[in-house]
Amino acid sequence: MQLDDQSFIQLAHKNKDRAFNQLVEAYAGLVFNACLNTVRNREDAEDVVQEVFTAAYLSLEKFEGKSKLSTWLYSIALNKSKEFLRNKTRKKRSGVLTVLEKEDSHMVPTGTINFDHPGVQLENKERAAVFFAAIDKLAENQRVAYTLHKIDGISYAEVAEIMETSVSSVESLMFRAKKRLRELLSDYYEKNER
Amino acid sequence: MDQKEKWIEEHLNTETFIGKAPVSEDMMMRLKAIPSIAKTTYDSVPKKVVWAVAASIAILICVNIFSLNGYESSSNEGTAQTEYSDSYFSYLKQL
Repeated sequence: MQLDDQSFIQLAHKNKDRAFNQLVEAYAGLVFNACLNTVRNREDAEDVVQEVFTAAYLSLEKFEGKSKLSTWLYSIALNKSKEFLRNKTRKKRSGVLTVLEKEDSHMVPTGTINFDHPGVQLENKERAAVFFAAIDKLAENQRVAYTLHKIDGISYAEVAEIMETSVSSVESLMFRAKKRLRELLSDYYEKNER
Repeated sequence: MDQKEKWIEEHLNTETFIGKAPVSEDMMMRLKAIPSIAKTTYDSVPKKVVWAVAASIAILICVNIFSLNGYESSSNEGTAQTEYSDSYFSYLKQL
């Protein structure tokens, strides 16, 4: 279901609840998959999605249409996912799993501890786990840009808007991310696949 | 392309192994229930109570300001009285 941004704004001013219902119908899948690709666990992603839509509902009147609805929702999803992972890491650091995060534990798929990505078929689980472990080793802005563009399929222009940066910066981030990912995967291959 | 390069390409080609996950019906119901939950959360404190608390705080601040002014003027009077009694007793001493 495609939602026209301008008619959505008008509807939001007239009937907030109806507009929100349409927003959920149109964008629940997109937001869920975006959160899923960041937190990589169905239950966690569902919790984050709920937070995203609650935040969207509470600030629905503030949406002026300066950016696309999808961009606005992606920005909220990105912030909420980051917040969620920060809290999760903080809890994990105080526990026994800290050892898994040490630099010398080369590419331990930390993200796979609770890895439950419903978009990944069983036969691809291992490949996805290795890929996500490599992604986790990237700098945060490189990881965000790569995930949004390559996995969520968002254009450079929209990624730039979500990350509040320029298109050329996104291009540069993507170039460095790809280069680093190749290095990490090559290293992993040498150590484990040979 | 050698074996290693092929392996890397396979692992970077995400669209071949990361698909779109559907949203469950349960999730959709939870999302659609957000307006009612948000309303009950935010309307749980009636507006009358909020205004009553705000008015009480304002009254408390006013009472404090008035009493502070009263205290300052009474302490000024107290100083004048002390000066008067001091001069009276010094007059007695002279006698």
